[in-house]
Amino acid sequence: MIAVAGIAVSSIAVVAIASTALGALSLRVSRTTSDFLVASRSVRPTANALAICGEYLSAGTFLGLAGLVMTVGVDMLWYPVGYTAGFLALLLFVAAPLRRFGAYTIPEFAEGRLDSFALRRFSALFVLVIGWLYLLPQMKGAGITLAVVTGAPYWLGVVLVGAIVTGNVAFGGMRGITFVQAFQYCVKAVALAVPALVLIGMVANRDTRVFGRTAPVLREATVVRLATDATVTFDRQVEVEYPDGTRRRVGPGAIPLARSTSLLLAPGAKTPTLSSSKRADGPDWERPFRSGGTNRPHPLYLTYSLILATFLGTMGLPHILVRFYTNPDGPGTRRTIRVVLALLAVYYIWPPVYGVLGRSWTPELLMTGRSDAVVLLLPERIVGGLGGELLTGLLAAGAFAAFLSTSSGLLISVAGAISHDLFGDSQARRRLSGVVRFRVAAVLGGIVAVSLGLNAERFQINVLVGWAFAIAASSFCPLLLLGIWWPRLTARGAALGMAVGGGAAVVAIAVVMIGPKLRGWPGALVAQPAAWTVPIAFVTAVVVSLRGMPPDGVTAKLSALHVPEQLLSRRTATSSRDVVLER
Amino acid sequence: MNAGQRPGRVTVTHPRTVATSRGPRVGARVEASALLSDRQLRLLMRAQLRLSVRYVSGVGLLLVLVPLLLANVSWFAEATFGGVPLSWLIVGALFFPVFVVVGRSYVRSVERLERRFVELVAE
Repeated sequence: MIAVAGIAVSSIAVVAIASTALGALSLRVSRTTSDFLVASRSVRPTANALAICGEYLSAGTFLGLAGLVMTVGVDMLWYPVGYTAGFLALLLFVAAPLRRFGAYTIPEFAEGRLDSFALRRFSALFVLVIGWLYLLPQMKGAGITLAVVTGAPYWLGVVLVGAIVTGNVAFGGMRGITFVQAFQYCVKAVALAVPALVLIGMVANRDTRVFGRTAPVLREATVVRLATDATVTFDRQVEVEYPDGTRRRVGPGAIPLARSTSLLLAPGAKTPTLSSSKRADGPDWERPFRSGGTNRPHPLYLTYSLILATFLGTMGLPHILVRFYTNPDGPGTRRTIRVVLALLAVYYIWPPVYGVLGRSWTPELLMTGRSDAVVLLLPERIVGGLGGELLTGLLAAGAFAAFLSTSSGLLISVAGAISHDLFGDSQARRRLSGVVRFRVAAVLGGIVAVSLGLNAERFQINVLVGWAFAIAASSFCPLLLLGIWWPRLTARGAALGMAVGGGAAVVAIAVVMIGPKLRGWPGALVAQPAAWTVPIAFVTAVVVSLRGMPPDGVTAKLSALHVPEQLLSRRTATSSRDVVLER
Repeated sequence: MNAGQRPGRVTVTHPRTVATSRGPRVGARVEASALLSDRQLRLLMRAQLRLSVRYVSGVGLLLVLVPLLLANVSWFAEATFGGVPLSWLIVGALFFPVFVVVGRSYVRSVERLERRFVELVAE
C-alpha cells in the first residue's frame, strides 16, 4: 500500500493528543469512584446523546461495515439497521426503569434486583467476555489503519491505541470521557460524511455505473500476494510468481496456489475468486439473500439471527448502559435516546457508500482479505494527489476517534467489573482504595485487550462486533427484561439463563473462531447463534425461576424501577418531612 | 461508600454487606414503594408494558416482513430507483427515519401515560 504518511499521521496524532489532553484536563475534577465511573450524573441529554454515539460508533461501522458491504453485499446493511433498532428496544423496555433503579452497571442491577452477590460476580464475567470480544476489532482497526496509511507493522497500531486508551482510562476516568466522547462523535461523523460526499461527486462526474455490473474488474495492473494457501479461480490466463521467484502463466480455471505466491493481474481482468472467500460475484452481490454462495449458507436465517442479536444485544452492552446514569432521571434518559436515534440515522447512511464504491475502485481488496481497509484507500484511488491525501488524513483521524472512544468506554466497563464486582470484597479491596484498584484493573484489562488484538488480524472487524452483540443478547438481555418486568425472576433463574444461553453463544463463537470449519446448517447456526441461544436463555431463566421463590421485597424493587419521578417529587412537596427522615 | 478508604476503620458486619451498601442506591427510591398500593403498582406496570409491547410489535413486524418480502418477492428485490436497487435504499436508508419517528412517538406516549397516572394517584 502506498504511504500517505505525513498528513494521515499528523491528523491521527491530533486526535490522540486532543483526546488525552481533554481527559487530563478533567482529571482535576474527578475525585471519587463515582466521578470516575459515571461523571457523577451531571451531563445534559443532548451532550449525553452525543457522548453515547461517540462511544457506540466503533471501528465496526467506521471501517468494518464498508468492507463487509463490499465483499458480501446488500445483506450486510442489516447490521446498522439492527444497531439502531437496538436503541429502540433499550428505549421501550430498559432505559427509564434502570435509571430510576439507580444501579450503575449490569452486575450492580443483578445484585440490587435479586439480592445475590454471587449473581453480581457471575454477570461481571460476561461483562469481561463481551468487553474483550468488542475490544478485539477496535485493536484490529487500529493495527490496519496505521499499516495502510504509513506502512507500519500491524502490531504497532494495536499497541499504540492500547497504550493511549489504557493511560486515558486509568488516569482520566469517565468524567473526562464524557466530553471527549461527544467531541469524538463529531469527528467521526464529519470524517465519514465529508469524504463520502466528495467521492460521490467525483464518481458521478465520471459516469461510471456502480450497480448493475457483472463482476468487479481491475482498473489498473495489480500485484496481489496470497497470505494463505488457496484455490484461486481465474477468468483468463494470468501470470503468477511463485515464492521461489519463477514465473508462469496459469489458468483459466481453478488453480491451487501456495501462500506467498504473487498474482500479476492486468487491467480489465475480473478479480479472481479465492476458495475461502465469502464474497458474492456478479449480480448476486446487489440482490438480497443471494450473496456468499456456498461459503455463506442460509442467508435468510443469518439475517434474522443477526437482527435478533443486534436488536436485543444493544441493551446488554456494558459500556452503553453505564452512560445512561449520567442522565438526571428516567424521562431524561428517554429524551437522550430520542436524540441518539437521530444521530445514528445521520451516521449510518455513509459506510455503505464506501463499500459500494470500493467494489469498483479497489476490487483487489476482495482477494487480499484486507477489505476492512477500503474506507482508507478510496480517496487515493478516486481523488488522488493532495486532495486524496487530505481526505485519507481525515478518514484516518475519524477511524482513530472511533477506536479511542469505543475502547475507552469498553475498558472502563471491563476495569469496573474487575475492580468493583469480581474483587469487590476480596483482600485487594482492603489493601487498595477504590480508585487505585480501578487503575490497576484498567491496566490489566488493557494488556489483555492488546494481546488479543495482536491475534485478531484474520477476522473481519464488523463480524467480531456482531458476535459481541450475540453474546450480550443471550446473557444480559434476559436478565434485564425479566428483571425489570417479571416479579417472579429468581437469582438462580437469572444465573442459569445467562449460563446456558450466554454460554451457548460463547461456545458457538469459539467454534467459528478457532474450531473446525462447519458447512451447511451447522455452519450457519454457529456463525449467527442468537436465533437459538436467546430463546434458550429466556426459557431456562423462566422455567428455573418458576420452580423457586422470588426474593423478599420484590414490590419495593419494582416500585423503584417503575414509579414515575413526578409522583415522588409531588409527595416530597406535600410531606417532605417524612422523606427527609427516611433518608 | 468511602468506608473502605479510611485507614484504621474496622468493618463489623460481613464484608458482603459492604459491597451491597456500596452498590445500587435503591434506598434513595425505597419511599417509592410506600406511595402505591400493590394494585396500583401492577396497573402502572401493566400500562407501561402494554404500551412498549405495542410499539415493539410494530417494529418487530417490520423487521420480520421486510426480509421475507426481499427474499420471496422478486420484483421487490430487483426494482431500482434512480439507478440504485430498491433493496439497498430500503435497508440502507429508509429504516432509520422510521426508527426516529417511532422513538419520538413512544417518548410522547409514555410521558403522557405517566403524567395521567400521577394525576390519578394524586387525587
